[in-house]
Amino acid sequence: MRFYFQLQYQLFNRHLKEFGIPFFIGYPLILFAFGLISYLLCTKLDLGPYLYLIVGLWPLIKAGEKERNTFLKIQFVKGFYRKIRLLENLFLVSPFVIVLSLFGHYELALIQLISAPILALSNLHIKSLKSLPTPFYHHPFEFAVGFRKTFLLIFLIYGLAVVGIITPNFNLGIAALVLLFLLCLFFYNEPEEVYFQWIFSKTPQQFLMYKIRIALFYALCLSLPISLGLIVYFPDKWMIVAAVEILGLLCMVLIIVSKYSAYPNPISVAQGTIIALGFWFPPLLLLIIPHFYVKATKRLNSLYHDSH
Amino acid sequence: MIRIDNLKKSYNKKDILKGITVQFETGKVYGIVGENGAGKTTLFKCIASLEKFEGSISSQPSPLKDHLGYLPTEPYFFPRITGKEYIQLLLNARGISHKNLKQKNLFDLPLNQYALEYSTGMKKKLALQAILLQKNNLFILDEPYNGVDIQSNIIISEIIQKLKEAGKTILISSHIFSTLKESCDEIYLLQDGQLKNRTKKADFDTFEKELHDSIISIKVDDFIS
Repeated sequence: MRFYFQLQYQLFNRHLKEFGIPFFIGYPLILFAFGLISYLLCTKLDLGPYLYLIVGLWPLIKAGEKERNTFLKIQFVKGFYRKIRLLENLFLVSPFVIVLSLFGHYELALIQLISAPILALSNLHIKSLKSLPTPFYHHPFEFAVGFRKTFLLIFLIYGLAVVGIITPNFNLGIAALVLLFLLCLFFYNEPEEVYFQWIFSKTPQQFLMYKIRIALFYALCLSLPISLGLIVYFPDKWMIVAAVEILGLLCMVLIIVSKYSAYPNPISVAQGTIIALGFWFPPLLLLIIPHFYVKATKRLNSLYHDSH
Repeated sequence: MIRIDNLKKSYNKKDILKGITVQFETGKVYGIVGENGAGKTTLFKCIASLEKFEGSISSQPSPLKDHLGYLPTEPYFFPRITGKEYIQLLLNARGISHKNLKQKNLFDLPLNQYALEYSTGMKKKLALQAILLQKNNLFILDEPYNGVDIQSNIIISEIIQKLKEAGKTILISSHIFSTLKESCDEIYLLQDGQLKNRTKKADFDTFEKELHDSIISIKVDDFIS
């Protein structure tokens, strides 16, 4: 068992290394980001602790993925497998339980704590031969895959937006809109197999525009119901909603051009830093997007055409 | 037509392809045989320009990439993408409309099921079906018969014949010599980084016997003794 957890530790370190972050920076950075997000969610948002509870459940759901658990079941005898999963889940959930307790949300901390053994010892894999219907089937794959992976979160975000409108709490509504765009950005976080770029009979410029068009259209489809709802119920704040909507769409463009500027490799730390700068000071997006667009066209050009 | 001149490829200073020069004519089917690790997949990836290489490759029509249907040995699928969506993705990529996909379901695949849940053979059939619907002029089929049932083997051989009749150029690699004998006009042996023993249809049986004797028999005899 000790070896298993050592291996997990090594795997995590390798991920950090591949991402180009040295250990001495990576761990403090993760701690700082966790602390900051925890503080913001537990103190600045009315329903933040509930959102925090859901965020805390996410690693448990990831650790319970079917393929991973099938592999573990094959490798370890039943009792050993359960012990590993139990310890793993308790380890994953403990930071969230501590934070919730520190901020006085004892009931939520208890729910979080109980969910760890329940999710470790139960098999909640949905077995189905049929696929989950998606409104994004016409242009696979990012939004179709992303929707199927995160549909529960999407419904939850819509729920938050509805609560924001009913209560009425504009900040909660706008937070839901921001969360939705963050989720859409997450659909583009991993570079696909080269084959799926290779199949396109388009120039790099045409390819990028095609990807951007689809991303903008689908992101609009997902976000407009929330935006329109907020504008109808908080008409005096329509400019804030419009600004968030436009910024969200610009970020969609940014994530696509930055992804293909590094393709087929993942986005590097240097590129990540530039993207973060864009998020921090949005007017910079007007410079960053063209910069990444030019880099992406060069990158895509070099992938195939230079080889002949 | 695909023309390859002095194609070289190496990995970590190990030469895999050592200056291959060959021309594949329009409307013909070519088989490539060779041991595991001989470089068949590398050769195909270079032709498809999925790998960087030295030398030159030209084709008619050009650019090759836009007219090439490439079936990899192990096709890759996204998680949570159905068979139908996989086909749509490949057709969208070529700007081809995808109406009546149900009627064009050649292998009776469960197209509404996630492709990743398909068996090995079904995955291969799905990938093949998708590149066939793309209406390509040139095809590279890397081990198309691997993991596929007998009925589908027959269908694939029939498809290759029909494609040939339609004037398409097809390159196939396979470990099953009998299937290549049926489908191919010429077969090459990829050995030591070179395409050797260009063999025409009339001499396939002799070539098969030579291969059997030189590669399999000697090695097996050595191993057993």
